[in-house]
Amino acid sequence: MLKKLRQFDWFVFALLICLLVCGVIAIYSASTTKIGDEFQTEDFYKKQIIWIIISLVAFVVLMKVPYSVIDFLIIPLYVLSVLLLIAVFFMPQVKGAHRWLLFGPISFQVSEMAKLITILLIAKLISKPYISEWQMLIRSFVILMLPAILVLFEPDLGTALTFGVILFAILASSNLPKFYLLLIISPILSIITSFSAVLYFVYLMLLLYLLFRNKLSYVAIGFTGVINSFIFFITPIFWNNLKEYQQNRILSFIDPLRDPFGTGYQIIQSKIAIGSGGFFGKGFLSGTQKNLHFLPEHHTDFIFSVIGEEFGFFGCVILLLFFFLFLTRIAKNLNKLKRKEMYYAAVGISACLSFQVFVNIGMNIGIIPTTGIPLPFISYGGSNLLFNVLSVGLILKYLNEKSIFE
Amino acid sequence: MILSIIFIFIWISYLFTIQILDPHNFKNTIELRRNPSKQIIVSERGSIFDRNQELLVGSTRLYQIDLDRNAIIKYCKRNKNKQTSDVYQKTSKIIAEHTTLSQNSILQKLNKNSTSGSIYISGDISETQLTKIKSDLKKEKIPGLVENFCEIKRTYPKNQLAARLLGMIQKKEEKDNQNSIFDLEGICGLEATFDDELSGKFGWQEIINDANNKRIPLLYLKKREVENGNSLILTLDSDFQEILEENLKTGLDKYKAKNAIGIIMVPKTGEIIAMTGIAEDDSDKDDSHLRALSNFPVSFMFEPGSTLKPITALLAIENNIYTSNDEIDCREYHIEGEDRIIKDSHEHESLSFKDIIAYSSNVGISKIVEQIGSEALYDRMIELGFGRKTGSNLAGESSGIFRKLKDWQGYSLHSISFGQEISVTALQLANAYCALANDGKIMQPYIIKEIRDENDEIVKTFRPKLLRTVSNKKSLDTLKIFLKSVVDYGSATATKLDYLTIAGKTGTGEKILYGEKSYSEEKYTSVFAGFFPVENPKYVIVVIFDEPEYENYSYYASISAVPTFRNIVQNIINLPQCDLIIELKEKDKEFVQMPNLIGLTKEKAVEILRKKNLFYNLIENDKNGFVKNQYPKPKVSFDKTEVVIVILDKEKQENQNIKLEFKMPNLIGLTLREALAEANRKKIKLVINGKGIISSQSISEGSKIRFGEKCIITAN
Repeated sequence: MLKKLRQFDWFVFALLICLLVCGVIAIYSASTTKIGDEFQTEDFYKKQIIWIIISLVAFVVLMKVPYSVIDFLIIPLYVLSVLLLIAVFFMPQVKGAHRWLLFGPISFQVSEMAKLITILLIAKLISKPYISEWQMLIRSFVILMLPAILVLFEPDLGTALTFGVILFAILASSNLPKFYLLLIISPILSIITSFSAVLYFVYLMLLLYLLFRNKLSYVAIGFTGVINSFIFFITPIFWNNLKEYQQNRILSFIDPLRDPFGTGYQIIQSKIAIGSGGFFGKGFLSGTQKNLHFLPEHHTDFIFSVIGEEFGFFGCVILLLFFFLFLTRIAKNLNKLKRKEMYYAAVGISACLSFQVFVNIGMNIGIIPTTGIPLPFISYGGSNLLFNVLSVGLILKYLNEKSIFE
Repeated sequence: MILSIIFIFIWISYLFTIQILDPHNFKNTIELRRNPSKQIIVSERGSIFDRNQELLVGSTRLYQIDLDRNAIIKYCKRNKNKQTSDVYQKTSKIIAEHTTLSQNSILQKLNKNSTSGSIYISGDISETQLTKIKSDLKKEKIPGLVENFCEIKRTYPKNQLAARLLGMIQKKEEKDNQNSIFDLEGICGLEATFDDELSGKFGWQEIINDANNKRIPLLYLKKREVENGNSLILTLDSDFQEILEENLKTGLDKYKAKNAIGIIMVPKTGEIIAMTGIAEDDSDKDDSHLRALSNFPVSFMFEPGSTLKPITALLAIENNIYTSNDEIDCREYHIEGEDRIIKDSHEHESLSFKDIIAYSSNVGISKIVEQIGSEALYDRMIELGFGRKTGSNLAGESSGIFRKLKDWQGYSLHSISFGQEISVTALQLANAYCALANDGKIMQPYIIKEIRDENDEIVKTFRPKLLRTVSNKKSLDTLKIFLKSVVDYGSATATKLDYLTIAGKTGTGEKILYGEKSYSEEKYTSVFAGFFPVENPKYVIVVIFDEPEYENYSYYASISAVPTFRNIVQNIINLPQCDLIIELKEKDKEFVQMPNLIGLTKEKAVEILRKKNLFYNLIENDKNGFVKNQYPKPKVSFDKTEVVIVILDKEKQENQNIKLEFKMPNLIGLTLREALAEANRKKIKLVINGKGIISSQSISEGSKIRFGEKCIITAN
């Protein structure tokens, strides 16, 4: 028992608690409107504290459950979450999307659960011995696409993208040759480069050269070239056939400042909030952007702007430092995981967490389009918090398990 | 691992840039948001009421309403079962229901192709209409109504009554830093004279709006309370005013005069009860034009003619130069050393002193004035207030023309004794007669009784003010007998009434030809100044017709001004508020109660009058009209032989927008908040007992509310 406890990574756990505390403070401030001496607080922070307690209990339970039980549960849970993702479409809309399962006062975001289970299932399946590279690709792809497409139609672009990033990270960490990854992302790059013929040509040449270097068959290289060129030609036609407002929607997604009162509004307001924070910020509870209701969603996706405004550059750097230490500490320990499925799962989870952190903060400071990804451990949101804590719990458990099996 | 280091580095450097270096100057943007803007609160202009607190001039706030089409489209998108066109249809129907706008015109505006989402609907929506529209739209849950304060309009519940006296206002654009302030400024009449009292002072408050354009109640924001204008309570009685105006108008048409002027005063106090001036083309002018015209009783100057004779006579009585029965030779005569013959239109061999006044002999009064001398006459004229303003504070008052003693020429003395070489205003003449009627006490004429603030608290009260006393009671009593004889058997017998003693003096002033020195042969001013009852004068009335028709002899005061005076007196004594006790009611006279004819057609009214065997006189301003007014007023008992005057006119299309509702609304069943809002709108003061839903109100629904009356409501 003593040995086991020593293996438990108290440092990561301490950082996790630090982040959660930061989150509660930020949510308390975000849900408080302070005007003059008037003071009004919504009870989001109380709910967050309750969710933290639930999450930590779940965390402890997870640590006690034997690994085999978890392993056994993965497939049924995957089926359950896909079914729930379908069920979500029959739920009433909340803010224009079917993201939540509603049980009276409690709402539950299924995509959070689906994310974790999908990671585990992919990790489990591709770590089977003696499977070919193609089998690996196709299995992971199919397992991922099912929930990812459902989530995309909720619509929840941010979470759908997270799925993509998870897959990419897992495959990148596997022993799969790297050019497969290149093949996966080549159509996306084709679309991006299609705006300039020269750029596309350079890119195509580079792509073909790399594939050639990797000794791919000429048929495969030729097929890739044709597909990518087709995409290159079709993209402008497709673009021009779009209605003007559709074009605008896409353009303002890429560049929110095109539409300062629509898509760009939140980003601009968030940027103003953070920018006006200065070095030490305006002080706890006194952010004007929030108090004057200029910032919508400030307790969820845009919580970082509240921190930026009230605690300034100093506060932001401290928070980033917490995240940095937290994520690098996990990343550093990943190599200690010798069982492949655990390794893949841990890679997927840490990629998922890092992606969320960077995209959310990038979105808050206005250099990444708004996608609706919350800041892990900080943003208000029960299911997000629960599954993020559980996923950290899983990594810590895996790191623990290692010592037992060895 | 490397990736996250790179990301962290980029993020931190970016944060450093925008937070510390601040290239977009975000700190300033935030400061701007905390910078309050000034919102102007427009002050309410005070109202004008008559002595019975009937509203003469009020004001309503008008609002501009726009519809935000984008809000409606958004609303339709959110609710899938709503069609934009249906919502437009509904919205326009609701607005059309409560305003004079037609549904189609609103629909047209809403369906107009234009890039802007906001559509202007109307700029003159009153507060009442606005609340109705708002509550109906709220019921239907239709969004998009944008309201803005537009302007304050003056409303005149009594239409053209006393238009020239009350005056008019114009919009005044003031600037306070960047904010333009809506304000009204009186430019004529009482509105101009008492502009400082009426206008009030605008207030302002600093506001900070949040992102949803909601005001944030910050404590450090500064504010100046708006000071609403004070209300004026006049000494004017709108019933008297109405009588005076109607009669002068009738007279003006009948005698084809150019202008008609009238004034009614209370001699004991100097209060002006009614004053009006009408020009012959007034009926062609629209309301606002009329209000900008001068107020004749104080601005129009005329030669008073024989109405000045009593002043000379009074001096003679005081100095015991003649007794009333002394015979004076009244044949035409030549003034010594001057090239002028004084004569009368009807020559008398000789007349007694009293009859000189009664029959208005120029020769007689000239002879008397020679005994008195210039100085005494001049001093008395000055004492009575001729040649300078009365101090009534009325806009456009002229001082008349009365030359200094040293400028008097050879026969100025004689001329002035019978009212030539002098110009007076109706108010001066009336005030002088007030002094004669009031035992020589010259009162300050005034028209403002009280000034009250918005809470109906009296700010200032004007009391009768004794300026000086002339003559003595004994002499004045003798003069009263003289003046009574004018009516009894002299030049004004047309106004003799059996049941009321009246004293007065006629005057037929020749008008000086424009640009010439001689008097006109055909242009006269006919004047009658009188008071009644003689024993204890209650009212002084002066009636003037300027240039009545020459051919019909209506230039003689006895033919034009005197009968009009009589009609006015008859109408006045039938007013319910007139407390004259008519002492002599002969037994054989049959008194009847006047039926109510107002609102009936001509045929119906005539039928009723015939049934009661009443004499009547129809004044038809419009052949197919309805009875607009009647004298005597309904339910007044009067002598059956008297002629009833019935005025028929088109039913005025009341401008719905500026119609004031001074009827008590039904508050029962409303919540306290709703009731307070409603009461505030109608300017009713509420005394509240309890909380919750209103269960009773002390003033019943539909009854008229007097200014400042308080309604007690009980809620539970």
